[in-house]
Amino acid sequence: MNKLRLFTFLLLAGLLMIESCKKDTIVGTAYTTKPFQANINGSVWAPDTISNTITYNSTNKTKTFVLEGTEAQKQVIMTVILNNASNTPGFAIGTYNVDASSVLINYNTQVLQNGQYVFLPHGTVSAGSGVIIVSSVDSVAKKITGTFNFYSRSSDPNGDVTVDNILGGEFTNLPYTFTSN
Amino acid sequence: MYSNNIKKIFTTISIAFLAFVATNVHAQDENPVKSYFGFFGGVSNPMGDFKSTDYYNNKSGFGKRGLTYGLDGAFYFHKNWAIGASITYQDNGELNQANADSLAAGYTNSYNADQATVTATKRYQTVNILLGPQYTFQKGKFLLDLRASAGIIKVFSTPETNTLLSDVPQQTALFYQRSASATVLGYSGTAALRYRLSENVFLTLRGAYLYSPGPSITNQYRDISLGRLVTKQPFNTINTTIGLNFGL
Repeated sequence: MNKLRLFTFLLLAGLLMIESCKKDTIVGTAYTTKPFQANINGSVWAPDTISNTITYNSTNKTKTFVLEGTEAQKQVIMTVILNNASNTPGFAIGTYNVDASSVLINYNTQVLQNGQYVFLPHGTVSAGSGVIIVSSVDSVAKKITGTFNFYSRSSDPNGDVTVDNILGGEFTNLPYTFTSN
Repeated sequence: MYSNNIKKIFTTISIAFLAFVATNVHAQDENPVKSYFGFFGGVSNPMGDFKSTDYYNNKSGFGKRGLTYGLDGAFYFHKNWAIGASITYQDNGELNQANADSLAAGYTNSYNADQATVTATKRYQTVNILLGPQYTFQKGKFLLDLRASAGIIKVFSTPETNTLLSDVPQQTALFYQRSASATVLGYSGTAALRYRLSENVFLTLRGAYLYSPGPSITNQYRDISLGRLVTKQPFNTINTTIGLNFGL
């Protein structure tokens, strides 16, 4: 009977040990897989309204890539202008630093003005405050992939400065239209 | 996978049944089976939809292998025929990190959200009280008990989730799939192989299949229902246990 008692004891001890450590809280998070998105001040921003174009100007021999997204009262417009470009539907891959002339980013927020909601610049995305990286271009399927990040600085009449950080931006196989003028 | 397991169980039971019937007709009359009681412990294995982790299947239970233990007994009223009863606790776990991530990804897609955060708490915990007829075959020191039973399942809790979506104007509120607490019907088929350690003590290996239509699930604060929506959670398990039985 001693063996039986030992077996019983071990069985009950095992059950009690397994019964401990029970109440956990598990948190799972997932983010959108939309092809154009960024993180604005810590929140995911993935625009549903998108305009993506590459335009060749034969007079100036420039090619302009403009990617615009609007969502949740925020609007991002990125512009990259290539000089001495060729009239082809592709775009040069590379790292384009914001310089406020040929590489521009406009960051607008929606405000109520004269009874109407309009998008106005949040502040200034000045030279050196952002980058757009074009990592691949499929000129046949007309899809472009890249990343971006920048910050926008604004100040109110009291001189108080606020900075919006737009980080981890990406556009992945985003379709574009090509126009030659 | 599920049907293969069922086939294996029935094949095993059938072989054992035939072996006992073929070799042990006279022995039963010489050595009548005694009523008994005992206890057992082991593993509860979720099956089918209860085990499934498919976001798009509303019956998926995300059930886990867990602990089970309980008391069991049988009263023999005519030769090898008995009424058997058991009371069993079983735990089929909680959502793990992969499950919570999977649900969050599913809701993100279903609601076209920018982000979804799913917080999961609580776990499957039930006590089953089942009763039914039993027939016992015996050969030498071995006895095989086959039992079909039905009864009630007291559900103490099921996993609870709350979900927060980002950038979905139609669903700004945190919505809940509440933990269930209810008493529901359950059905079971059991095969137990007992080995006689002494005159009145048996070591018992036991396999019990359990099915229940399960409790209703309450969902709260869901302004629009897109994607996964669980309104009832069926249970489906096979419990494999070892224990000791004592003859009366």
